[in-house]
Parts: sequence; structure tokens; C-alpha cells
Amino acid sequence: MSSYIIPVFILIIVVIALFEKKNIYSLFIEGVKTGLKTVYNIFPYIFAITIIAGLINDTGILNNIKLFNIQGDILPLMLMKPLSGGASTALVVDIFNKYGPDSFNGIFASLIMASTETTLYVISIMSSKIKIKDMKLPIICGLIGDITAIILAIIITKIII
Amino acid sequence: MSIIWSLLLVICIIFSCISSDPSVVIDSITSSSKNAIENVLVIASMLIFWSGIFNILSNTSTLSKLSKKIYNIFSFLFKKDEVSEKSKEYISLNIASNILGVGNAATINSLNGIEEMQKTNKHKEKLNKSMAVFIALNTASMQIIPTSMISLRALYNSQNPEKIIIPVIVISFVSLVVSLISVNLLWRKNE
Repeated sequence: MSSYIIPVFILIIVVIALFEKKNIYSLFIEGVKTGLKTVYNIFPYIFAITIIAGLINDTGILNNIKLFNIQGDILPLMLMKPLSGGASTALVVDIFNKYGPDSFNGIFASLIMASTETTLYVISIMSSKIKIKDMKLPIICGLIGDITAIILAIIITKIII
Repeated sequence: MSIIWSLLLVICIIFSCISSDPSVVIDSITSSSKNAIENVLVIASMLIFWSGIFNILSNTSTLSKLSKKIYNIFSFLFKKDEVSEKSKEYISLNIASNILGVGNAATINSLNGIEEMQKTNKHKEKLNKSMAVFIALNTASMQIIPTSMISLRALYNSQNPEKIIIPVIVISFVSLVVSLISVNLLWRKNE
């Protein structure tokens, strides 16, 4: 089912534009140009976040923190998810390999991955478009949302397992 | 952001100097720089594609009609005088692609949307409330069906990969509501 979403979506857009007799090709080219500029502008932000996510992962700093009796592999995931989608997917794969996707850790990891966003990453690339330095409020609110999701995920995992 | 970034950097470097091999730091930076370039290439290619596709869509009159309908559902979140007609289009496209789970399409619309909202922002050096709400919508997950997670679970031989759908919807919704409420509360406190 879900594999239809994107092709159908693109098809609808092109059909609508055809009906309205728009110059589809030149509009596409124009959009690609602005897309290129956008990529150029957000690159430094992606770069900075990837470096930090890499350092956290490679120095193994998170493996040495223990909190609330949570098993070692879950905490790195909780702290990594706001920073990087790629790095946290790698952590989930580790958890699946170690405990299996239907274990407590596996379900909890799946829930965290699917119901939270890469909060800090999103904020940093969105702030690249507007030259506003003070992002305290969105960061706090985003993280409050993430913490809510983590607490709920623990409770729900205990119920459904 | 600056504080978080520099703090994490300092902690990581000090930690690796004390506990493990300090050479980890430069190895890690070398490999993550490479990763960053690869990531950007992957993200960039799809971002540029969607930027092109949405430029076609945003020039049609069907979109402005449709986006008004979508925007009306969410209009209670935003302040009228802070959102122009053009930003309404980006906001509704962003919400729609977030719900459908087309991440790169959501990204390009979030960037265009926040840029458009900045144009009507009265104090350019400060966020206005509608911008804060828009960012909060994007830092929360709105995807209805977590397709990539389900396929990852299936790949690792889960007995029931779809088990997470309803919990994910519940958790995403509650955490979205909580972060929107906290935007409102903190905003009132700031004013």
C-alpha cells in the first residue's frame, strides 16, 4: 500500500499542472535551482550535527552512563535520536541483533524511533533559513515532547509485551 | 544550539582523553566528515527533486484552494497576522507530507515555510509565536503509518512487525500535543 503513496502523489501533481496548462518543465527546473541553494545553505548544519553524532558514538561515552536501571543499549538511542536519524537507526539495528525486535528493548526502540523526530537536527536546519540565534524555546518544547514520548513508550511497551 | 553543540564536543573530547584512546577523536572526526558528505548527497538528491516537484504544485491554483482547506483545520494553532497566503501553502504542504511520511518533501516545505514566515515577522531577530508553533510541528512526528520502522522490524524477523502502529499513533499524538501546549505556556511566560 505505502509504496503507492509517492508515485501517486507525483502523478497527481503533474496531472493538476497539465490541466492548468502550466509549463511543467521550466517550473521543475526553477524549483531544482532553489533546491540547490537550500542544500548549499543547510550543508554546514548537517555537517556540524553529523560530526557530533559521530563523536558521541565512537568515543562510547553513552555506554558509560546508567540511568533509572535502563539497560545500556536503550539510553544511547534516547540521546542520539534528537541528533541524527542515521546514527540512531544504526543503534536500533544493534538492539534488534542483540535482543530481537519483539523483546522489550526491541519494541521500545521501535516506538522511540517511529514516534519522535530528530528534534535538534530539525531545529538547526530550520534556523539556517532565518538568521535568528535564539532557539531556546523550540529546543525546550521539542525536547519536552521527546521526553513525553519516551515515558509513554516505556509504559506502553510494558503493557503490550 | 551553540551551547549544546560546544558542550557535547568538549565532553566527548575530555571523555576520550581520560578513558580511552585520544586518537579516537580524530579518527571519528575523519570518518564522520566523510559520512556527512555522503549524507548530504543522499539528502540533497531527494530534497532537490522534491523542491522541483513542489515548485510545479505551488504554481497551480488548485493548490491554493486545497491548502486553504488543510490550513483551516490547523489555523487555530497560528496567529492570523503572522501567516501570509504563501506561508499557508507551505504549512499545509508540510503537514500533509509529514502525515504521509514523505520526509524529504516535508523538509523542503518546512524550510520554505519558515523562510516565508520570516518575511512577515515584525521583529526579524526574534521568533514569533506562529514560527515557534511551526517548528514544534516539525520536531514532533506526525507520520500515521511508520513504514520504514515496520519494514526494518520485518527485516529482522519480527513475529508481528505491525504491532507498533497503534502505540506509535498514540505516542506521537500525545507528545505533539504536549509540545504544542508547552509552546503556548512558555510563550505566555515570555511575554
